[in-house]
Amino acid sequence: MLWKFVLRVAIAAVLIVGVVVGVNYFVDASQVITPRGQEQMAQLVLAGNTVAVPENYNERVYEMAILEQMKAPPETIVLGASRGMYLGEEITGYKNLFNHCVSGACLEDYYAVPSLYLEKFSTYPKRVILEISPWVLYHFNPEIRWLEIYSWRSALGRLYEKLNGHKPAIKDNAGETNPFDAEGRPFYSRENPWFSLPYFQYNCDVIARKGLAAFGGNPARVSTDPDEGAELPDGSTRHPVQEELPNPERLATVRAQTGAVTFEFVHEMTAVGDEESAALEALIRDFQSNGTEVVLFLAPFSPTQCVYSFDQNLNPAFPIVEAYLKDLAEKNGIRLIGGYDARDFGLTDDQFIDYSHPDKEAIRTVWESVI
Amino acid sequence: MLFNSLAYAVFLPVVFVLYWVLPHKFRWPLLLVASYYFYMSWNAAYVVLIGATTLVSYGCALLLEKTNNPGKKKLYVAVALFISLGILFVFKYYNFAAGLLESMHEAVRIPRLDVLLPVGISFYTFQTLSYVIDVYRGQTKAEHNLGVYATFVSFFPQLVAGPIERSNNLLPQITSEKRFDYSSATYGIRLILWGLYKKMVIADNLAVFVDRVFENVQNYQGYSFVLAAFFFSIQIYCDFSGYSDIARGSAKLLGIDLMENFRSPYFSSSIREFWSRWHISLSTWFRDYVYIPLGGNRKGKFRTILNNLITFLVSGLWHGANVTYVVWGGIHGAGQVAENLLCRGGKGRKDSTEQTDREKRTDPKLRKSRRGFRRVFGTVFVFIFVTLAWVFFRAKSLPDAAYVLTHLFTDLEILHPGAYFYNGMNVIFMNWGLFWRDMALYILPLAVYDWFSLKTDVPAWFGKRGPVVRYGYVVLLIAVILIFGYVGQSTFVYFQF
Repeated sequence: MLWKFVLRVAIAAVLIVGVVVGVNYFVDASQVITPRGQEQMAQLVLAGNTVAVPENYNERVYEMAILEQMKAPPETIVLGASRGMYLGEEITGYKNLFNHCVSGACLEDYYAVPSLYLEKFSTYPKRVILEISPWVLYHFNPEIRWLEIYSWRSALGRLYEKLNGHKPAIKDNAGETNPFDAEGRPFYSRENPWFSLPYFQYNCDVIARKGLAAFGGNPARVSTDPDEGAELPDGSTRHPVQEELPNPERLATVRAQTGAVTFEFVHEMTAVGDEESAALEALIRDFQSNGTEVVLFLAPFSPTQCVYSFDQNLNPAFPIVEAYLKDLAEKNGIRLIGGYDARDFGLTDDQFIDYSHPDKEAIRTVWESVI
Repeated sequence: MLFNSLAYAVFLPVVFVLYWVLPHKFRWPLLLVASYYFYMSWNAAYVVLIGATTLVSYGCALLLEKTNNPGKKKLYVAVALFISLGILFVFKYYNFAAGLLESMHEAVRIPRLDVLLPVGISFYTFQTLSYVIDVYRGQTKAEHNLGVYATFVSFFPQLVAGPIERSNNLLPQITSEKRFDYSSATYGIRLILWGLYKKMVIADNLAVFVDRVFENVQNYQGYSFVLAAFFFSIQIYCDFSGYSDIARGSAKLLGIDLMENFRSPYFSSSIREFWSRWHISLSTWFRDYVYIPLGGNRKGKFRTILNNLITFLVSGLWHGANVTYVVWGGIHGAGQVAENLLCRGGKGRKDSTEQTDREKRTDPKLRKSRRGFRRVFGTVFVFIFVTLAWVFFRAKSLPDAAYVLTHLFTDLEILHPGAYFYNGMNVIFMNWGLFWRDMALYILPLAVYDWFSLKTDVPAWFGKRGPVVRYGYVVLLIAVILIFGYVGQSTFVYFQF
């Protein structure tokens, strides 16, 4: 009876692990097990194509694929999050630019791409535009995307340690084990996507939304439809038409999103994080000491949002972060473009995709109003 | 090593197989080694503490058995109490006491100890104390084999968060010869899975909302607090009873029965009943070793009230070195005292289903419906009372708890009640869809399971069904745990006690 029981439990365990591994491999919604899609995407983009944005592709894996296949460093790069994704050659006027912005960027993410440039080309690009949102400097920012991909995290960790004397710390409330505390790659962890339970749960969620299509993969393709979202050859983004152009639905969305900005729990932020500001300043110092020009870019929030965030002080950190960055720029001779309050640039709600994302023309207005 | 970790998923099967493969005489040594390994995986140095507590209680019990001199007996018990409680005091309460003393007088400065709270120290200390007192009272015999006794103290399934086992239940099971029983083992698996469901799917997912609110109470108000308090009520129950279920299930795999620690406590219709269903091993410990020795209810109304209050205050302090826990205990004590006074002049009723003489004279149907109504009303009332008391248990400080309780309805406007609910959910990243999903996924299955647990042993019931129901239950639990279980880093709330 004992061995019958043991055998049944063993079979169940094998089945459970098999289901997890099978779903992770065959769905692989973020293409971290088989990054072919992102490699193809990078190849097409670097060849000068506009590439349709596949659903669920992993932006950090894609950026690494770009660096992997890039033959020479561009003159200008853009680092930041989704609010900086419109900054391309067309808006900035800089030729030979590549936009490396990734969604949900934390300060740690800002180290990854420069680290990869240094290691591949032994130099930074000549100019770096840093798009910085308030939560980037929030010490308790719970975002964990920056640590999910092993090679990305390793790259940023190397430069971070070099410039700050220690590896990045995991935010206190991220609820994660600090992977930098573990030696080597643990068998079961977030960064081992084969066995990862969080990744399994994400893949199940994709199956629930897409059905069997979730198993179909996301092959890269050149975009022929101007209305669909796409990655442009300079790394900047084109949104789907319903987001890209002003329309009543978009405006209604912008106005409906009222109250404090709660993204990354920034409504709880009351001061610039010491560790984050030190890390940002260390990175800027290193850029400048290597002869790289630094430009800071602050994307505004919608006018309606600003009423809550600024006038009603529901996001007390916004003016604090803006003042800190202006002071930093002034002390270090850095050009700062933009600001968090849309009303300073004469923008209106209908120039926004949502409360925190200005559309392309709004970004152009902000960029040009300062220059 | 957490019960919901990969390490335990490897550790338990290895111990299980070795346990049943080895001859009987090697089984308790295996359990002893496994238990110490389990404990040392947290902090190897603290094994000295559990070792010391074990040696002291073991030695005192032997001395107690050898002497008939009442003075000496009292001395041996006092030594055991002094050393065991002394260790507990130093590691758990010293800094708290020092802070209290300093707050009483500005000139007082007391150096602090920079020590970590040893995991499970309150549990194994109480287990050893009950053993020594039982030997003193002649209710149990002293265990002569130090290894067996050390296994009793350190038995890994219940080591860090109970149940606090009595020696006359656990000690004989450690040494008795057992044969592998297939149905017991599958029963254990079902208990473990249900415990994991409660811990990983319910408690840990609710903790995300609860922690956010209670860590920064000033940032929230209104319905956020109502939800956070409600969710914490469910979280702590699922966290702790989930641990107990996994502990009982793990022990069951080894052929050992641990006592039931929770019996559907949120279906209680009186506070007294709640405490007969919640953390039963601790409640009965306090009843047997604090309340009754103080005189229980045998020394008049005033002493009964006082004994009740003292017992609950000490119980609160047992949970943690913070004033919030003491207040929490005091609230429950006061609640029970009030309940006793309101019901039959202090004699109290066991629960609201007991009949009064007047009830017995009325129409049976009417009587039944009244009892049913009283039961439902009592259950709702007790749940609200317990939930509000949990606010003190969870809050970081008394001002935080007071802030939560005084801001439960601050932004509720009668003319726009929708905004109260919407805003409260929005700031904790919840909406009605998520709320109802959580209710369906967490609260409903829990309520149904607990409801049936009032009348039947649910894991045993499933064991007697056909293969479709039997395996379907297990497969469903595994699937829900894998798909919805929280897989970030978490620990069991009661480990800190």
